[in-house]
Amino acid sequence: MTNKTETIAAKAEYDALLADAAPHSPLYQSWKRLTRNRLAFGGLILVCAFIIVALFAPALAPMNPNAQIYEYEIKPPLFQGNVILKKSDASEGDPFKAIPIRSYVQQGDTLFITDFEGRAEKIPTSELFGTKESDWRKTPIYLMGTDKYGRDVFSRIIYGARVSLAVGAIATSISLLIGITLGAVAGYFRGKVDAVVMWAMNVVWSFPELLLVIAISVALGRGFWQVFLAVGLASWVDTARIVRGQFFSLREREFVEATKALGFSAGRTIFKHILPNALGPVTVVATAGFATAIIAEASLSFLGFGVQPPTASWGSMLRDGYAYIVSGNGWWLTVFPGLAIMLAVLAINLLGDGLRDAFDTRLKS
Amino acid sequence: MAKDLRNAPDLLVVKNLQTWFPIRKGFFSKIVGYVKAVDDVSFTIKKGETLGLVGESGCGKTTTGRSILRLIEPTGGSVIFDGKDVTKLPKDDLRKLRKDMQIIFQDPFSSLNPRLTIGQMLREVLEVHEIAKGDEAQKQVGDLLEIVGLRKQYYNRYPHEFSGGQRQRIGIARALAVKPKFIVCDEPVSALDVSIQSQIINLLMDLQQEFGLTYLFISHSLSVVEHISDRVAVMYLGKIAEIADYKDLYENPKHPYTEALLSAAPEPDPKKKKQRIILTGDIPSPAKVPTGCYFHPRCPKVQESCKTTVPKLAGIEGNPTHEVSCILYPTSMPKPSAVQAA
Repeated sequence: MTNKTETIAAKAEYDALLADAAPHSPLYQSWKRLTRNRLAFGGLILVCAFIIVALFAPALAPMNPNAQIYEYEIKPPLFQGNVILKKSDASEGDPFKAIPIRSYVQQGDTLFITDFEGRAEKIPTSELFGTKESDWRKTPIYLMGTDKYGRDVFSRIIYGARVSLAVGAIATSISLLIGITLGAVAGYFRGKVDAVVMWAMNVVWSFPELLLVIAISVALGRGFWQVFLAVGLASWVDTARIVRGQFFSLREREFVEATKALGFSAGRTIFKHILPNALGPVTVVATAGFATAIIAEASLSFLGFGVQPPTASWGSMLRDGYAYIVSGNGWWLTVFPGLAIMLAVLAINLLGDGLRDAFDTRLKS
Repeated sequence: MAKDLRNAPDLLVVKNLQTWFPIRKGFFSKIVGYVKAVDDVSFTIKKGETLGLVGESGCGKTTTGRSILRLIEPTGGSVIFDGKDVTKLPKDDLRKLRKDMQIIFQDPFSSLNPRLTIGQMLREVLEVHEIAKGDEAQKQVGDLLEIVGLRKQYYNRYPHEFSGGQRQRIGIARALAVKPKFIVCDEPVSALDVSIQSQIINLLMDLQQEFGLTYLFISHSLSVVEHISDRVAVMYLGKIAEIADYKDLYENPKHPYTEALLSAAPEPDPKKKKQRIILTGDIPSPAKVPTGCYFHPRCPKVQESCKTTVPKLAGIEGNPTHEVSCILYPTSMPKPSAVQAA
């Protein structure tokens, strides 16, 4: 009888103990420090907002970012359009074509319009898009104005977030994958392995980064993916250096020596014991790399090596708009994409700074 | 010590162990010399025995312990453990041998992985060595924690939630997890408060009795070593200066260096006046060792021949287990052919 109750009590004791682990974990504590840091938390929220915008761009953008209405070229922010939508049989893009008008009158089956240039025209109602007047008559507001092809800048900024975040995420993943692997191997095995990796790092390091990105993207051919790959391949050195340095110092710690004394394999020691302790600084470098990748993509697109038109990207929008800064008409073409880049990079850097503090155990409260 | 070890078999025989680190200089990393961290060290530890290894910082005692376990590769000599030469074992066999030889580290704040709970950490050891799996492993971890005087409730805690003494107990539990025969205790108490030191030492002694463990106990404090050791070895500049039964060594030290160390130990009785031997100068760099007897520049009993004659470690007359390396004792004089010209 007592034996049985003892067993049950012992079991309950174990179970209760196993339950309370999470609040003590170092990761949880880092998270708590991060959320207590207002700037970093603001950065985190902004970054999340950017991610949401990028993910749900089709739902959030008021217009097709690539739809052109030539009559509406270079219109300032808050410009209100006035269009009739005609059915379109084009296989791509929107199922309608927008015709800018000044006024219109409906008489029976025919719509008499005065178009943007003041010419009168007739359109049979059967050719109109949809059935009700609210279907085919629109007065869209261009929040951030239009560009020289009459495209909505606001929608293009929203779609541009996709390119920027994708470049950041994919390029950072590539550079982390290469950087962590090479850095870990060099830092753990040292000696000749380290010498070879260091040599490779110095070769990559000796090129100006943007030049290297351009060289790689030219070699890979133009396109969406090539840009990501080029930025990733050019930026792993920072990660590798940090990881290597971390491994150099962590290797000497006694808990790593203990894994050797316990006969653990090199793989187990590297991935389970050293790497998790090196991830703090790596996260910080990764966020910085993320911001750098966004800028690299913008620079590439600005120089014309980036994503190809008509895909909207903040860098290519800047390139398309910078001529208008000089003419004094069209400031919105550069200010809004510029602001978008600045805000994204700022948010990521704020988050990165916060992460550095959060992972720094010396500041432990 | 009430242990009777006269008939115990030898568990560890260290012969002429040598660990030299090359000093590289210049563009081509040419080797210009060696740091002789461990230089021709020999001793034997019997099963169930504790050998205390003392010396100043930098004398090579930690390197000796690490070299025996091949955490640092020795450059020469042999380490016979349980009949096998550890220094010649291939990697796979060495991995198996890790179960028999363990180490307890000095710094309890650096010896535990901060990202693993102690339960995860101990369990990993059991699972890697296929000692236990699943629920059984969890139960054994609980038992281990209790053996070292911790509550098994600590299973899910992280190292930073423990005090130094508790962490050291966890380190001991990790070493015990593989059920070793021999443990190198590398200054296991020097980072702890004095009150905690005695707790840990008592724990180590209890564990020795319970599991029949053999220790190499490394410390820079003679008083710590006195309490736990059956025999004590004093190291100076990578060599053993004196090795003897703890009683012989403490009551009747032979080597001038041992005498100086003992006279420097604090005396609990304030009224008792004692002669302190103050050593002058610093311990020389092991990269540039003195000629003759390594200790001669600091030795209060130095003689002219000390500068040229290299003494050898040998048992003194009347007590062969009390070995000294000093030419004041005739047995330490090298054979005439071995006398070096400086």
